[in-house]
Amino acid sequence: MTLTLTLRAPPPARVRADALIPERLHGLGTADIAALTARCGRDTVAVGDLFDVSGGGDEHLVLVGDLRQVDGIGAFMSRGRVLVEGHCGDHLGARMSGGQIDAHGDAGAWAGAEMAGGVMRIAGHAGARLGGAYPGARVGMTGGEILVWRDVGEEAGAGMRRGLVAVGGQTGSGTGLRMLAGTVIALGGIGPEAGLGNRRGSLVCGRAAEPLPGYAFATRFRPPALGLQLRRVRELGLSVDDALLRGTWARWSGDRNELGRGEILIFEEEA
Amino acid sequence: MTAYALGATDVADTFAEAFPMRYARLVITAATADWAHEAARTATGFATSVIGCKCEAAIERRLDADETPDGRPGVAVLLFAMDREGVAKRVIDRVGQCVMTCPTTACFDGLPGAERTAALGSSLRYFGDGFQASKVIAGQRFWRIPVLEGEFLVSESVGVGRGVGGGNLIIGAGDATAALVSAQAAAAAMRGEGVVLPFPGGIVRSGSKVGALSSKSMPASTNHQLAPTLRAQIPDTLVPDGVCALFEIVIDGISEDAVREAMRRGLHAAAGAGATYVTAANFGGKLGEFHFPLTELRDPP
Repeated sequence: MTLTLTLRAPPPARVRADALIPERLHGLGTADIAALTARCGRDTVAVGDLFDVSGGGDEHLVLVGDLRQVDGIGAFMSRGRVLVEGHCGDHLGARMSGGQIDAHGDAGAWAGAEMAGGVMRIAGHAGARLGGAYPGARVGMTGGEILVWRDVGEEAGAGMRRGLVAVGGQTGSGTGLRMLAGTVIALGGIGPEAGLGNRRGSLVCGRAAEPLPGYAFATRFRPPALGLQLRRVRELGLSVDDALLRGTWARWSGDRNELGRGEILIFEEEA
Repeated sequence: MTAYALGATDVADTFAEAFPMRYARLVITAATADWAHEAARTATGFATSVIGCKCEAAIERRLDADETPDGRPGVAVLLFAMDREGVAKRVIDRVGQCVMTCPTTACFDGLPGAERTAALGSSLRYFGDGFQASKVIAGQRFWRIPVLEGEFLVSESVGVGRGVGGGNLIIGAGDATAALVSAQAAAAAMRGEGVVLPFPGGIVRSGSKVGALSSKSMPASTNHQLAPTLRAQIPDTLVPDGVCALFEIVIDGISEDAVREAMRRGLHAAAGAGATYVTAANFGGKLGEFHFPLTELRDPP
């Protein structure tokens, strides 16, 4: 049975929802879940005071309401599915290692930060540092797949080591900052200063872009791996124009101020 | 001895004897169906028999663009060897020399999720001389090897399954032309998903026996009992009266059932195409784990 938590009213302060993940709620009854506590600003409050609880703890958790004040939804989860019918706060799915999160609204900053596995799909916008590394950490996302239907904030994929971030809209400035590896696809184009300090990562830009001076033009070709990745993105639900699958891409290598084995692939034209 | 007749075709009361083998399925794609076929054809060359070629391989079927991982036309190839290590060595050799070298190709694992695997891209990547890169896509790792044309994309490993090698039919008729027409009809009917016919055009004219009468060092020699020119020369000929030519078809498949059903299709197609005699090769039932009695193939497919 699906567990549904419906926000009663806007909370008085930011709420930490890290504990509300399927694996921790599995097997608990409605009353047990309502009695759990969560941090709300400086206070600790019962989940039942914040949410109407219906159903029982299962592998499928639904959160309903305007949850922009609720942080850490799905954070640390390793299995199951979380569906958010509304906007989310920060740290959505941060450090998750498995399972699936579907957010029907926008997400705040740090969504998928240091994520290690699983799938996260955000139907709206996402904030800064999508899939990024927390302050002081060298490594951001190490696995999994993040899809965002609209635009995302600055420094998406910062410190990324593995995994895939695909954005239907545009990414903000500093996309792929100090990327180690992995792939960030921005179908609507990458923002300025993308790929600064990139070592082996792949940045994919569906629109014309001017790479940083640390990048040098290499060639025009049809990258076979990118074809697989775009098909995977399409399989996960994000719309990918056929022209991107058929077309030619310019490869720019960089950041030559770093290892220089990264790349920015910029869509040029349909074949 | 004849077990039954299918029209004018006498079917011998015997069985085909086959062996457990290991196999890999490669999915080779390219910019066009012709280039994919060219790569597959080259990769499966000189792969008729494990005795002399270390592996047996052939094209399983052509794949439409919507059946392949990268949405391009492709070809599925099955490669058989006696053990997993044998599959691993031959796959690396053949993909490295025949697929990576072929314009526009990519090579994928056609047995995802198999319990056993053999390295492919994880070994071939060294051709990239340190410039290779990998991508993990939907949980599978692929290697991007820089080449003159751009990049060769290859799966990190291929699944290795348990298959059956050495199913066979021997098809005879009153003259060589009629026997070949029947064998060609049988081969065409037998091809399909899960089976390959590794010999030229699927047909063997030099059917063999284990060992040799004249030498202890020969692993195989001509099947003299089924050589029509020796009919009057040897006391134990198995060539029936009225039969002047025979061809063998060897079948390797991904399962016992796949081989059996291919044999059934081939038997009935040969009978329909004018074969006057169909038999099968075995080793007295002592060597092979799988037996396919022709009596079990009487019902049409």
